[in-house]
Amino acid sequence: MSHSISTTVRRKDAVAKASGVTEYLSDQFLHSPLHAKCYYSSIARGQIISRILPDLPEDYFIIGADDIPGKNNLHMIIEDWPVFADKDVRYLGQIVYLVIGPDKAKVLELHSQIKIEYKEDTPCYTLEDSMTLVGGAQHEDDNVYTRYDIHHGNIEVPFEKAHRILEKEYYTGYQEHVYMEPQSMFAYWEDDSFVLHASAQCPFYIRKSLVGALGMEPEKIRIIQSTTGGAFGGKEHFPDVLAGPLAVAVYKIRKPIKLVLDRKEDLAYSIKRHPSSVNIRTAVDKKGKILAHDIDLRLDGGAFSSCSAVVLARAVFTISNVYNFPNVKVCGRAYCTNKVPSDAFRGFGAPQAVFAIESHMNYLAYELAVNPLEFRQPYLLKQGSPTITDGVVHEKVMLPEMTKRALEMSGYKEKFEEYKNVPGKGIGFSYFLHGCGFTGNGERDLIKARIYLKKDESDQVFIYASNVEMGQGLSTTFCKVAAKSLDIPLEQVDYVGPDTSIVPDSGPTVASRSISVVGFLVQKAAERLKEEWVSGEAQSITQDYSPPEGMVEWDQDALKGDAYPAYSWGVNIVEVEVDPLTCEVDTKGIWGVYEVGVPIDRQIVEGQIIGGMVQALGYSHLEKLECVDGRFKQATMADYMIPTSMDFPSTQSDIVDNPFEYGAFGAKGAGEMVFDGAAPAFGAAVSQAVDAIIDEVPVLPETLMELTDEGQ
Amino acid sequence: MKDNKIEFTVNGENKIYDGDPLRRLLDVLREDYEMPGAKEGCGEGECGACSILLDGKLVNSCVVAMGTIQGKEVMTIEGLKENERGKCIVEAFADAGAVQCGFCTPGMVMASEALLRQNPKPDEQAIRKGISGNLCRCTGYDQIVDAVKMASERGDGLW
Amino acid sequence: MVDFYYPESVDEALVLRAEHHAIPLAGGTDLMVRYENWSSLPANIPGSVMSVQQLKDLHYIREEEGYLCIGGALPLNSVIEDERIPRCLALALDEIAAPSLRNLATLAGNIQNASPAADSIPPLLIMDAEVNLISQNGSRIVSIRDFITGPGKTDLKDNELIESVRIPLDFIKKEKQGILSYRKVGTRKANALSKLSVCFWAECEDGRLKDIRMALGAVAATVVRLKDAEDKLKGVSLDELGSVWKDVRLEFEKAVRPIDDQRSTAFYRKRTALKLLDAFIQQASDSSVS
Repeated sequence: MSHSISTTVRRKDAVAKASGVTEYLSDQFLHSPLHAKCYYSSIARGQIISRILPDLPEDYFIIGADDIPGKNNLHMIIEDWPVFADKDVRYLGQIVYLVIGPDKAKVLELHSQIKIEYKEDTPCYTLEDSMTLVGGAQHEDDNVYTRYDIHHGNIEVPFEKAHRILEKEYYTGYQEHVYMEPQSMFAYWEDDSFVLHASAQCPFYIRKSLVGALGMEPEKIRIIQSTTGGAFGGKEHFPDVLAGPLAVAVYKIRKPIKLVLDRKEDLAYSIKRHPSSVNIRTAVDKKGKILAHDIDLRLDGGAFSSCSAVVLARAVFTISNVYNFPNVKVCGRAYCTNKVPSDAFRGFGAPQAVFAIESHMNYLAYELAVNPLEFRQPYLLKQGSPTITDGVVHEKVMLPEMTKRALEMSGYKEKFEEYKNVPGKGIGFSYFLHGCGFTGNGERDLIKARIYLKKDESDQVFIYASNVEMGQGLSTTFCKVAAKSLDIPLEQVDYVGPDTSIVPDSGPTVASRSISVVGFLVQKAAERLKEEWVSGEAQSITQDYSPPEGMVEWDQDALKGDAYPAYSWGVNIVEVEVDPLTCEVDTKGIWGVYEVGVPIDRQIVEGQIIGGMVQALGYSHLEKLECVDGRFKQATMADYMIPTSMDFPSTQSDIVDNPFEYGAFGAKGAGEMVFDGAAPAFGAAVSQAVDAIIDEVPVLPETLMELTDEGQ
Repeated sequence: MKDNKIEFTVNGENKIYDGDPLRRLLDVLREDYEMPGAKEGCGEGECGACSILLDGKLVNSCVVAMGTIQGKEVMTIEGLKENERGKCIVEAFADAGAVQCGFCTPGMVMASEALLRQNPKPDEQAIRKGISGNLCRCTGYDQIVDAVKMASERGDGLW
Repeated sequence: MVDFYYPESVDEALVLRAEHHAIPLAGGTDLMVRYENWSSLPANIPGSVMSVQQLKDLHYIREEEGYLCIGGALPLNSVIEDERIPRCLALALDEIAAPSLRNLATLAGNIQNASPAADSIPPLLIMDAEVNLISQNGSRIVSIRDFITGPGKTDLKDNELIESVRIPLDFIKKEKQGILSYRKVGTRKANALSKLSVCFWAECEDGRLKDIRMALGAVAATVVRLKDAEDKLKGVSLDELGSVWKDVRLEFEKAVRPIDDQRSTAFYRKRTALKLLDAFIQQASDSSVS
């Protein structure tokens, strides 16, 4: 069944963006009285022993830890990331100073005259280093930021009884966001308030992070989102890290300052996707049935915790993926290392988990000599199935229909059989899901979203929320939801750009929550406004979040209950050809079938599907990012390779409707889920093509060359 | 070039520049002429967000030194959007869903114009090649390819 | 502000080269990136600079004294569009960067950059191409092989300009009769720097290998032409080519010493180069059948 809300409309922001009229931060503030350049630490771990600063001409400033009016930390999930490095340095690239002045050349000259002497300590660069406390513990006594243990069923008996125990470890690498617009902000002092314009996902996060550092009331800190040229999680918490030093500078100087990272700085020092290492031990019986999994999941969190705890939570809760495994034990840990902190990136821990479990299912099928697709079927979750956290799958699970459709579209079964005898060709399959909204009790207890819907005397309706348009289409879909509920033309509804001084806190633009959770509030508010509608009168509606009913209550201490109220689901199939001479992998076909509740605009969701797929295929084999001695080797966009228009064929996709009672017009999240399945499908395809187990992404020709040459 | 003055045109308008010849055309367009349609995505000719036409050819304005454009014609998105071809491409981008965050889009529109000037009826492969220097992190390109195809069909005779 | 010159003629440019050693700036795709500055500040190119892309006398492709000569300031896309250029060069140039950069970049610039991964150099090497270097003292012709002296280093004197690149017409005439293999291995399919690139060409006659030319990029400090190997293979009957190659291959294995860097590994580069060579020799051997 197709829903009328899904009918494609022209995006509200499209023409202005395409014709270059839309202003991004750097366009909006083309000129600035002052420019700031970050001065970064040049070692990965140690203490600052001495600092030599140049004499400063008038109007030039070097701002550092001593200038902070409040506390030297940024409030993210916890308060461990300092505004400026003071005595200790924990990664190469930590901001020590901002150098500020009117003339950029002079700023650079002063920047080059700063001399810092360090006493270096032994840095901790890998998960192994961190676990063995190389150089001594730096976060509590075990370097573990967060530990989440899950006990679903009981694994002891099954492992004792097991006919076979199969074990393998899976690795995923770093990924850099490469939003096309680098990190950008502009700040000034107005009356007695600090005002910041920023290219960012979460204006209220920035505000919260600055309260302690500035020692100011949140109401005196105003964050205005500027048109955001891509984010993907890279503008979730990292803007806090730049806003902190900038806010301290503005607090002291009281003049407007612009801070825009150039691409090389952004690549080198902005946060990345968490590298992961997941070990899975599986007990199987004589018939090849899975009895239990014992899983050890480790994330490399980098030098400060930022949101590693939350990424870990999603990774842990997603590790059983679309399967109903009776007995699973998971030990999940996020570790501290001396590298650029890892942070949010589209998928938020789920891609790492899905890669591990899907690759492992393929490995099990291989070892048990059964068809990988058929092997999966008995375990698929159904409505009413228990989840790994002893919650329940509330919705109807559409996987059987989706599988059928994906197989038809791709010719998977025939190709899979055929390529068994054709070296160099392969086709791979993956299942995946993505929990909608914040994990656990987040929406209810932490976010408590609120939105306003206002109507002016001309009957124009305005949506006030803190969720941002960052390319995903929110400024259009929110308006569609309101217009549809009010039964008025789309033109009669406007989305108000987030500004913490005028919009309520409806939460961050993350976790695939905006359209599903906040959009639902927009729908409810619009339904109320319709009832109360008085033409020609200004009216205002406030709508607060209330949790869905019938959920298994979440217990954050026990990690039990419904981790998510609903899930989005996907099936991916990828076909590849591996060049026998160079081991280069050519993607020949990409197919996906998705269930996102109801798409609030088919074209926008398709845009997410294709974009997510290509970004994830980049992650799967192009986007190598190596950290050596605390520094990323791929320093420019000529070395860190994101996909071009030439790298992949068109994505063939389909969407299956399955309305979610508590999502806007039945919508669930789409933006992140579309990323989750590509890497394991790609790995499976390559695995068939080269007849070797793929247990790592990115899958590099260099690795394949070594793998395939082993036998020679 | 007389007295270190560089004379050229931007979108048909005469300009005289007498600043540092090693400044980038991108910066002069943005900061001196306040035409911010060309964006800085990388500053090293890799991403294409700063694409403009120089004497009708697509170039990355972030690697063009002011000292090298004496007598040349510069066309930016600010100029292109005003003519029929530009409007046709912009509309096609909007209808095909080719715009997400939008930061790459003005450059992508310039690349489309350059391609259609050379080849008014490009097939998919030609389109993919024509925009291969313009990176987009949002769309995965398919809808951009659709947009260029759509512009080519709708704008039959414009190129 | 740096001294910047805008010569109106080649003669004027040569005066500037002689008197100020002004660095020639054509498309800027290398220099403007290498000396990139904070946005809005001028590029940090040291010394004085002169624009050369406007020198129309250096925008040409013409046949001259048995050579196809390509003017130094001609953008790559103009070179690619010319039907007279050899296929091996067209293939290589077409994979350099992206269309927009090829509208700026020049062949002379790609050579002068002298990167071990420069894409134009393997084909130029196998064709025994030359550069014509001009100065106020006249001109001198140097083979590409001698011109590039090290990574990023060439024999260009500080009073000289690369006037043109010269490709022997003899080769162009016979290119089609031979077997050509050009392959760029990059990370992605467009807009990529090479992990390695190879250009091989062989001509067979009467069941023998009449001529063979092999060049590889990004496997050593400079692009290499495997002259010694070629000499040992020339004249070998196609039936024996496989076995002769086995011996030659051993020497080659010792000679090629690629490095690990941000783009690839030494192991991969070497192994891939060998596989591509093996495949090419196989292709040549098989040509006796057809």
